[in-house]
Amino acid sequence: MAKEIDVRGLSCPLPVMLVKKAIDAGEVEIKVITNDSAAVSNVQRLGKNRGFRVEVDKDDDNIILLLKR
Amino acid sequence: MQVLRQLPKFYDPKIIVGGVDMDDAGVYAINDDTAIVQSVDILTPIADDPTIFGQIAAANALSDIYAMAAKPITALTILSYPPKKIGVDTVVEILKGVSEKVKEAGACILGGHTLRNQEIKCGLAVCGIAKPSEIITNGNARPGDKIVLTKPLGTGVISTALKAGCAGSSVVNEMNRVMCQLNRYAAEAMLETGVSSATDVTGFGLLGHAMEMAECSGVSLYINAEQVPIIKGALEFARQGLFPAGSIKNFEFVRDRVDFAQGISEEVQLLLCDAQTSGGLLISVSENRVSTLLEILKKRGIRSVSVIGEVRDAGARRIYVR
Repeated sequence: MAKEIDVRGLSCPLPVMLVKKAIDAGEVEIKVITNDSAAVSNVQRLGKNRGFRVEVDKDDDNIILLLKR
Repeated sequence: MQVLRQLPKFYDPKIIVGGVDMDDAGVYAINDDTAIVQSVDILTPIADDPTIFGQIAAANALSDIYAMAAKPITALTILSYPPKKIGVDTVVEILKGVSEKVKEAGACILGGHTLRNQEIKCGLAVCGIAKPSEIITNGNARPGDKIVLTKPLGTGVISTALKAGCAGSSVVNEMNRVMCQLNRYAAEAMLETGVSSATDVTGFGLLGHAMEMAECSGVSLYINAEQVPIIKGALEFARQGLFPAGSIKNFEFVRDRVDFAQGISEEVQLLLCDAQTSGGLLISVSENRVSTLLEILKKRGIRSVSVIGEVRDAGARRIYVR
């Protein structure tokens, strides 16, 4: 099961801080739900630089990032 | 610009640079010898220390005057703060910082305005003077000119790292030193050398302000990414995804009009768009004067100055990053 982090309504740097905390805690699969394009860009960058593959999916209101290692 | 287009325009032959010109400050000729140069800029706290925040707010507001090669003479301070959360001591510290920088600029504070608000904000409305013939706009970069940047980039990403609790004291101190540095010395060096064009690098990032210079001048700018000075530590924070939302918006806004060479990493592309507070001057200067400019800047103690590129005839894109 992917660790789910809902960062909707949060602005940078909070989304990245929460995802970083999960990575540091050893999570290997993280699902991030956001509605902020800056958070998408920053979380993608953090994930890639920490050795994760990052998939981006969109629905009507939200953007879902799936980080897998 | 979207808003400005909908407003009535002011026509007066004495307006040399007006609100629609996408420049750093407005310029109005009082007579043939003297023009007044005016600008206002307000910041939310970017430093934990109130005095340093005041210094940065002042240096940032004064910078618009310096970007036109004018001399600031008077300033009005604008401060908003929540009286229930912020004590008088802190207010005094912030205003002390403002006063110190305005003194260093050789200008006077004539007064100001304080208002109660949920958020702390501090800024200045600054008035400067210049000879109309000596005003330097952002619309006169000429093909063949060299492009000089007088401060390193990275204040947006480092201040976000500071908010996230990731930035150590040495990198924060260096960022504060950069932001507190007045552009006065760079402006004086421009006047002494004689340059084509200038602007200051602030909220739109290096590429955003370079884009304005290129568009207003009808040229293309070639920027050598390796030559762009960056505050030590900023690249690492960039890799950790610590850009402020403004920097990412800047990048999205300019990316279609910028030609990035292959091999320029996305982190570096974004750093070139990082929203700066109290950034340096971006100066376009003829090739035969660039060494004079660099010498004068060095003599005045300006560190991290770099020739970051050159101006060419307008190409398919406004900016080429190599």
